[in-house]
Amino acid sequence: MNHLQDPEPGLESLNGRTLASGDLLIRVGGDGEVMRVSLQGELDLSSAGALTGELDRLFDGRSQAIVLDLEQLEFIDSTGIACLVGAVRRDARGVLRVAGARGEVERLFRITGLDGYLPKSD
Amino acid sequence: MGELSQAPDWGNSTDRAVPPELLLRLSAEPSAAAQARDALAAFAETMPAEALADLRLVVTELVTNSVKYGPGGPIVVSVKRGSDGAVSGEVLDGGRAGVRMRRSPNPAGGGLGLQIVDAVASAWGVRPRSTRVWFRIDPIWVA
Repeated sequence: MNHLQDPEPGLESLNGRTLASGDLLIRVGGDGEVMRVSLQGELDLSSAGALTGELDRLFDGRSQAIVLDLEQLEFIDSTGIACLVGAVRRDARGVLRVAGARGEVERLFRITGLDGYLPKSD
Repeated sequence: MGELSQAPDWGNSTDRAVPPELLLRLSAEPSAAAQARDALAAFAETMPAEALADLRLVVTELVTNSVKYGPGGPIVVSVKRGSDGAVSGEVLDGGRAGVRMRRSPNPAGGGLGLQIVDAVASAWGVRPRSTRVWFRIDPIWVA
Protein backbone atom coordinates (compact mmCIF):
# COMPACT_ATOMS: atom_id res chain seq x y z
CA MET A 1 0.00 0.00 0.00
CA ASN A 2 1.16 3.47 -0.63
CA HIS A 3 -0.33 6.56 0.91
CA LEU A 4 1.18 9.24 -1.23
CA GLN A 5 -0.41 12.60 -1.69
CA ASP A 6 -2.44 13.05 -4.82
CA PRO A 7 -2.30 16.50 -6.44
CA GLU A 8 -5.86 16.00 -7.67
CA PRO A 9 -7.84 14.48 -4.78
CA GLY A 10 -10.89 13.84 -6.96
CA LEU A 11 -8.92 11.33 -8.99
CA GLU A 12 -7.47 9.46 -6.03
CA SER A 13 -8.22 5.80 -5.55
CA LEU A 14 -7.69 3.68 -2.46
CA ASN A 15 -4.43 2.03 -3.43
CA GLY A 16 -3.09 4.24 -6.15
CA ARG A 17 -3.05 7.68 -7.64
CA THR A 18 -3.69 9.50 -10.86
CA LEU A 19 -1.71 12.39 -12.29
CA ALA A 20 -2.50 14.55 -15.27
CA SER A 21 0.38 16.13 -17.19
CA GLY A 22 -0.08 17.77 -20.57
CA ASP A 23 -2.42 15.51 -22.53
CA LEU A 24 -1.43 12.44 -20.52
CA LEU A 25 -3.22 10.73 -17.64
CA ILE A 26 -0.97 8.51 -15.50
CA ARG A 27 -2.74 6.01 -13.27
CA VAL A 28 -0.66 4.15 -10.70
CA GLY A 29 -2.15 1.24 -8.81
CA GLY A 30 -1.27 -2.09 -7.25
CA ASP A 31 -0.43 -3.73 -3.95
CA GLY A 32 3.07 -2.26 -3.65
CA GLU A 33 4.85 -5.39 -4.85
CA VAL A 34 3.12 -5.62 -8.21
CA MET A 35 2.33 -2.21 -9.65
CA ARG A 36 0.56 -1.14 -12.80
CA VAL A 37 1.19 2.24 -14.42
CA SER A 38 -1.50 2.92 -17.03
CA LEU A 39 -1.08 5.71 -19.55
CA GLN A 40 -3.99 7.37 -21.32
CA GLY A 41 -3.62 10.08 -23.96
CA GLU A 42 -0.40 11.44 -25.44
CA LEU A 43 3.21 11.07 -24.26
CA ASP A 44 5.47 13.90 -25.45
CA LEU A 45 7.62 16.76 -24.12
CA SER A 46 4.75 18.09 -21.98
CA SER A 47 4.29 14.81 -20.09
CA ALA A 48 7.53 12.79 -20.26
CA GLY A 49 8.93 14.43 -17.11
CA ALA A 50 5.91 13.41 -15.05
CA LEU A 51 6.15 9.80 -16.22
CA THR A 52 9.89 9.70 -15.51
CA GLY A 53 9.19 10.97 -12.00
CA GLU A 54 6.54 8.31 -11.35
CA LEU A 55 8.67 5.44 -12.66
CA ASP A 56 11.73 6.58 -10.70
CA ARG A 57 9.61 6.75 -7.55
CA LEU A 58 8.56 3.14 -8.14
CA PHE A 59 12.13 2.04 -8.96
CA ASP A 60 13.16 3.44 -5.57
CA GLY A 61 10.45 1.45 -3.81
CA ARG A 62 10.04 -2.25 -3.11
CA SER A 63 8.05 -3.17 -6.21
CA GLN A 64 8.96 -6.58 -7.61
CA ALA A 65 7.10 -5.96 -10.87
CA ILE A 66 6.01 -2.80 -12.66
CA VAL A 67 3.75 -3.12 -15.69
CA LEU A 68 3.60 -0.05 -17.91
CA ASP A 69 0.24 -0.38 -19.66
CA LEU A 70 0.13 1.45 -23.00
CA GLU A 71 -3.26 0.12 -24.13
CA GLN A 72 -4.86 3.57 -23.93
CA LEU A 73 -1.83 5.56 -25.09
CA GLU A 74 -2.81 7.18 -28.38
CA PHE A 75 0.36 9.05 -29.33
CA ILE A 76 4.09 8.94 -28.60
CA ASP A 77 7.00 10.88 -30.13
CA SER A 78 10.81 10.79 -29.87
CA THR A 79 10.68 12.46 -26.45
CA GLY A 80 8.33 9.73 -25.22
CA ILE A 81 10.56 7.03 -26.73
CA ALA A 82 13.57 8.57 -24.96
CA CYS A 83 11.58 8.58 -21.71
CA LEU A 84 10.88 4.83 -22.02
CA VAL A 85 14.45 3.96 -23.03
CA GLY A 86 15.78 6.01 -20.12
CA ALA A 87 13.44 4.22 -17.72
CA VAL A 88 14.58 0.78 -18.91
CA ARG A 89 18.20 1.86 -18.44
CA ARG A 90 17.58 3.14 -14.90
CA ASP A 91 15.64 0.00 -13.94
CA ALA A 92 18.55 -1.53 -12.06
CA ARG A 93 16.44 -4.40 -10.67
CA GLY A 94 14.89 -5.23 -14.03
CA VAL A 95 11.29 -5.03 -12.77
CA LEU A 96 9.74 -2.98 -15.60
CA ARG A 97 7.61 -4.60 -18.33
CA VAL A 98 5.70 -2.85 -21.10
CA ALA A 99 2.27 -4.02 -22.27
CA GLY A 100 -0.43 -3.14 -24.73
CA ALA A 101 1.21 -0.84 -27.33
CA ARG A 102 -1.07 -0.46 -30.36
CA GLY A 103 -1.86 1.82 -33.27
CA GLU A 104 0.42 4.82 -33.74
CA VAL A 105 2.42 3.87 -30.64
CA GLU A 106 3.14 0.35 -31.88
CA ARG A 107 4.07 1.75 -35.30
CA LEU A 108 6.62 4.18 -33.85
CA PHE A 109 8.10 1.35 -31.75
CA ARG A 110 8.62 -0.53 -35.02
CA ILE A 111 10.04 2.50 -36.88
CA THR A 112 12.56 3.21 -34.14
CA GLY A 113 13.44 -0.44 -33.46
CA LEU A 114 12.22 -0.06 -29.90
CA ASP A 115 9.86 -3.05 -30.13
CA GLY A 116 12.83 -5.40 -29.85
CA TYR A 117 14.39 -3.46 -26.99
CA LEU A 118 11.56 -2.98 -24.50
CA PRO A 119 10.89 -5.81 -22.05
CA LYS A 120 7.33 -6.99 -22.71
CA SER A 121 4.81 -8.46 -20.32
CA ASP A 122 2.43 -9.96 -22.85
CA MET B 1 -1.53 29.51 -25.92
CA GLY B 2 -1.13 29.41 -29.65
CA GLU B 3 -3.36 31.16 -32.10
CA LEU B 4 -5.00 29.38 -34.94
CA SER B 5 -6.00 31.22 -38.05
CA GLN B 6 -6.61 30.55 -41.70
CA ALA B 7 -3.58 31.21 -43.86
CA PRO B 8 -4.18 34.52 -45.64
CA ASP B 9 -2.70 33.52 -48.96
CA TRP B 10 -0.79 30.57 -50.36
CA GLY B 11 0.10 32.26 -53.62
CA ASN B 12 -1.34 30.53 -56.64
CA SER B 13 -4.25 28.74 -55.02
CA THR B 14 -7.47 29.60 -56.83
CA ASP B 15 -9.57 26.61 -55.86
CA ARG B 16 -11.05 27.33 -52.44
CA ALA B 17 -12.36 23.76 -52.24
CA VAL B 18 -8.81 22.41 -51.87
CA PRO B 19 -8.09 23.60 -48.30
CA PRO B 20 -7.88 23.21 -45.29
CA GLU B 21 -4.77 25.26 -44.84
CA LEU B 22 -3.35 26.09 -41.44
CA LEU B 23 -1.10 28.79 -40.07
CA LEU B 24 -0.19 28.46 -36.40
CA ARG B 25 1.80 30.71 -34.15
CA LEU B 26 2.87 28.90 -30.98
CA SER B 27 4.73 29.98 -27.87
CA ALA B 28 7.95 28.03 -27.34
CA GLU B 29 6.69 25.99 -24.39
CA PRO B 30 6.42 22.24 -23.67
CA SER B 31 2.76 22.11 -24.74
CA ALA B 32 3.44 23.65 -28.17
CA ALA B 33 3.50 20.33 -30.04
CA ALA B 34 0.24 19.20 -28.42
CA GLN B 35 -1.38 22.49 -29.47
CA ALA B 36 -0.17 21.91 -33.02
CA ARG B 37 -1.58 18.36 -33.02
CA ASP B 38 -4.95 19.65 -31.84
CA ALA B 39 -5.00 22.14 -34.72
CA LEU B 40 -4.11 19.42 -37.25
CA ALA B 41 -7.49 17.84 -36.53
CA ALA B 42 -8.72 20.28 -39.20
CA PHE B 43 -7.23 17.87 -41.76
CA ALA B 44 -8.94 14.77 -40.37
CA GLU B 45 -11.80 14.73 -42.87
CA THR B 46 -9.64 15.23 -45.95
CA MET B 47 -6.70 12.91 -45.25
CA PRO B 48 -6.30 9.15 -44.81
CA ALA B 49 -5.79 8.28 -41.13
CA GLU B 50 -2.28 6.98 -41.81
CA ALA B 51 -1.19 10.18 -43.53
CA LEU B 52 -2.67 12.26 -40.71
CA ALA B 53 -0.71 10.14 -38.21
CA ASP B 54 2.46 10.86 -40.19
CA LEU B 55 1.63 14.57 -40.25
CA ARG B 56 1.02 14.66 -36.49
CA LEU B 57 4.33 12.94 -35.88
CA VAL B 58 6.40 15.14 -38.23
CA VAL B 59 4.92 18.39 -36.89
CA THR B 60 5.39 17.19 -33.30
CA GLU B 61 9.07 16.39 -33.85
CA LEU B 62 9.84 19.68 -35.63
CA VAL B 63 7.95 21.84 -33.11
CA THR B 64 9.62 19.99 -30.23
CA ASN B 65 13.04 20.62 -31.78
CA SER B 66 12.19 24.34 -31.96
CA VAL B 67 11.03 24.34 -28.32
CA LYS B 68 14.20 22.56 -27.15
CA TYR B 69 16.84 24.14 -29.39
CA GLY B 70 15.28 27.29 -30.90
CA PRO B 71 15.84 30.89 -29.79
CA GLY B 72 12.70 30.87 -27.61
CA GLY B 73 10.49 33.15 -29.69
CA PRO B 74 7.25 32.20 -31.42
CA ILE B 75 7.21 29.03 -33.50
CA VAL B 76 5.31 29.30 -36.77
CA VAL B 77 3.80 26.20 -38.35
CA SER B 78 2.23 26.27 -41.81
CA VAL B 79 0.57 23.27 -43.40
CA LYS B 80 -1.31 23.06 -46.66
CA ARG B 81 -2.89 20.27 -48.63
CA GLY B 82 -2.26 20.30 -52.36
CA SER B 83 -4.76 19.37 -55.05
CA ASP B 84 -2.83 16.10 -55.55
CA GLY B 85 -3.52 15.11 -51.95
CA ALA B 86 0.05 15.66 -50.77
CA VAL B 87 0.45 17.69 -47.60
CA SER B 88 3.36 20.08 -47.29
CA GLY B 89 4.40 22.42 -44.56
CA GLU B 90 7.10 24.34 -42.74
CA VAL B 91 8.14 24.94 -39.15
CA LEU B 92 10.28 27.96 -38.36
CA ASP B 93 11.52 29.47 -35.13
CA GLY B 94 13.77 32.33 -36.20
CA GLY B 95 16.96 30.39 -35.47
CA ARG B 96 19.99 30.76 -37.73
CA ALA B 97 22.17 27.86 -36.71
CA GLY B 98 20.93 25.26 -39.17
CA VAL B 99 19.60 21.79 -38.47
CA ARG B 100 21.40 18.53 -38.97
CA MET B 101 20.84 14.91 -38.14
CA ARG B 102 23.25 13.08 -35.95
CA ARG B 103 24.61 9.94 -37.54
CA SER B 104 23.88 7.68 -34.59
CA PRO B 105 21.08 9.00 -32.45
CA ASN B 106 21.11 8.05 -28.81
CA PRO B 107 17.48 7.14 -28.05
CA ALA B 108 17.80 8.32 -24.47
CA GLY B 109 19.57 11.51 -25.36
CA GLY B 110 18.48 13.19 -28.55
CA GLY B 111 18.72 13.22 -32.31
CA LEU B 112 15.96 10.64 -32.65
CA GLY B 113 13.36 13.23 -33.61
CA LEU B 114 14.82 14.03 -37.03
CA GLN B 115 15.45 10.33 -37.67
CA ILE B 116 11.72 9.82 -37.18
CA VAL B 117 10.94 12.75 -39.50
CA ASP B 118 13.26 11.18 -42.07
CA ALA B 119 11.47 7.82 -41.77
CA VAL B 120 7.95 9.21 -41.93
CA ALA B 121 8.04 12.21 -44.29
CA SER B 122 8.16 11.65 -48.04
CA ALA B 123 10.69 14.48 -48.26
CA TRP B 124 12.09 17.12 -45.92
CA GLY B 125 14.88 19.63 -45.72
CA VAL B 126 16.16 22.84 -44.20
CA ARG B 127 16.17 26.27 -45.84
CA PRO B 128 19.75 27.61 -46.12
CA ARG B 129 21.18 29.48 -43.11
CA SER B 130 18.06 28.96 -41.01
CA THR B 131 16.21 26.48 -38.86
CA ARG B 132 13.25 26.74 -41.23
CA VAL B 133 12.38 23.10 -41.89
CA TRP B 134 10.07 22.06 -44.72
CA PHE B 135 8.41 18.69 -45.25
CA ARG B 136 6.08 16.86 -47.59
CA ILE B 137 3.85 13.87 -46.92
CA ASP B 138 2.47 12.08 -49.98
CA PRO B 139 -1.05 10.68 -49.88
CA ILE B 140 -0.05 7.04 -50.32
CA TRP B 141 1.32 5.65 -47.12
CA VAL B 142 3.76 2.76 -47.29
CA ALA B 143 4.50 0.86 -44.11
